[in-house]
Amino acid sequence: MSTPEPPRDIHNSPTTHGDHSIAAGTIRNVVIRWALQHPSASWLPLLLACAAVVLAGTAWPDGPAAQYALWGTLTAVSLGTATARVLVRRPDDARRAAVLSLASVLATVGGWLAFRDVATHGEIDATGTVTPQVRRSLADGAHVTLTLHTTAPEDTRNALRLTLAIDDSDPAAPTCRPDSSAQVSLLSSGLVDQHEVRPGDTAAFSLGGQVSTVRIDIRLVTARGCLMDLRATRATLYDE
Amino acid sequence: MTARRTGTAALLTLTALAATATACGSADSANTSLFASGRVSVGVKSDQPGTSKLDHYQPLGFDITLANRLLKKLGAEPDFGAVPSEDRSTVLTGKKKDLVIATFSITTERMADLDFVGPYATTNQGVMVRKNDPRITKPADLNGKYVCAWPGTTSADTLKKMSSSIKVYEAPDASSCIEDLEKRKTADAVSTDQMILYGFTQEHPDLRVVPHVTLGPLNRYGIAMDKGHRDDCRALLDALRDYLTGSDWSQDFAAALPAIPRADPLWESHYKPRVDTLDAYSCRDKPAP
Repeated sequence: MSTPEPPRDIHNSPTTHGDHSIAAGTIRNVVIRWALQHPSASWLPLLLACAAVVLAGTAWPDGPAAQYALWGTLTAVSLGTATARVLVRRPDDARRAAVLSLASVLATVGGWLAFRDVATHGEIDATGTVTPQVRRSLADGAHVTLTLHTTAPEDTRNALRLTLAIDDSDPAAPTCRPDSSAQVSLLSSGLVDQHEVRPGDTAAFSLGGQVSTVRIDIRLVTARGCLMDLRATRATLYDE
Repeated sequence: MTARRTGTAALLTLTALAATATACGSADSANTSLFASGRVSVGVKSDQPGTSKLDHYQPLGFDITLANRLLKKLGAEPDFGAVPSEDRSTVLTGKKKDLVIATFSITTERMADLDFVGPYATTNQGVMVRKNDPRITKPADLNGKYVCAWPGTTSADTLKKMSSSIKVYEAPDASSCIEDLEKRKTADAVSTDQMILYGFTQEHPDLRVVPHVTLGPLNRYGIAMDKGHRDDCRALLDALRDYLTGSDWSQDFAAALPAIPRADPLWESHYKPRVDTLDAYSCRDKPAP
């Protein structure tokens, strides 16, 4: 006497019944077999990795090289494993080929996500957009307005780091550098955000939102009789 | 047997090379100290009463006192020699003098080529006129006047930057300017650092420094030496720090330049540098920060 079969969960079954039905397991097996054994499939991870590199190159947003470390590492892994996958030719290396393909694809996806994060929130070197680049022969109490403008919409950020150089206008005159500083404040923000900056120091500002134009007021403080040159040596936009 | 001999020879050669290298290293470090021999050649001005004057080969003035005080602390003695203003840098870079203590202002340009220890005194640029000449009482009064300065100083440049109306000219040296003002009367004024001008009034009672007229930035005098002697530089800096901390500086300054305490009740705050400013200017390639 046979016991009746319990009812089956047809949604989670890898098999189907009836005419022209194809089991999910069968599809998976076909794909995996093709990916592991077909000569053309071995190139797919490498093509994917190269495509990601090309796309990153066309949308490269610049900024400090250090912020691309994770993207660079993952891209190197994806290219390395994809190349190794191409070199695995023996039919008995199916497991190794599978591991290499998977690692390459995951590294490519991870690298792309890291790149998008840098492109969206990474640091942007905006030094070249600061105007005026330098103001010469400023006396104590002189005011300078620096303007920083980014044209691309994706280059907007909500914070700014600004490094100022304050040097003797005439290097042959008695030096005033140790007596000099600058009071730096944002003009374009409603926030009271003033910094005292010594020569070569960096001030960080919260811009109060994603902005493309930043105006900064600088008041020079120096000793009597001194004339100083003021220059923004580095301006970096970033997201807080 | 041959192999053992070769090995021994190689070992001996290496030992000899190491010994030579060590000896050379010791010799270098001993030679680089400016104070090692106990005698230090010091370039000073020869014609500036009060600050530095070689009077019948007897050096006198505040720069001379300073050199004696600091070098004594370091176990050395100075050999003074006259240096014109325009040669103060080249005698050091050309190794003709070990130090220059000659009312030498610290500038960014000079710091690139020389190391300074200082400031040991601070002073504004001022104006000296004949005692009975009331025409110059403020900087604007210099317009249209003949003002004498001498080469190798920062004074002439400061005047030229102030106004193109000032008739600035350079005489060969300080003595020529004084003569132009006092005897020849071809100059209406002489302009250089007030500390130097007050020194001249001590020997030339017919001249006076115009009160409350200061030009340009504050001058800070430093002891200059050629680059490459940072240990000596720091030793001299420590000696200067001690000197400024005690009462010796004020006593020596008032003794060498009595005209300044007589004319300026706040002379110590105007001429004595703060000890906490020394590190910003001393033993560096560029003024801090």
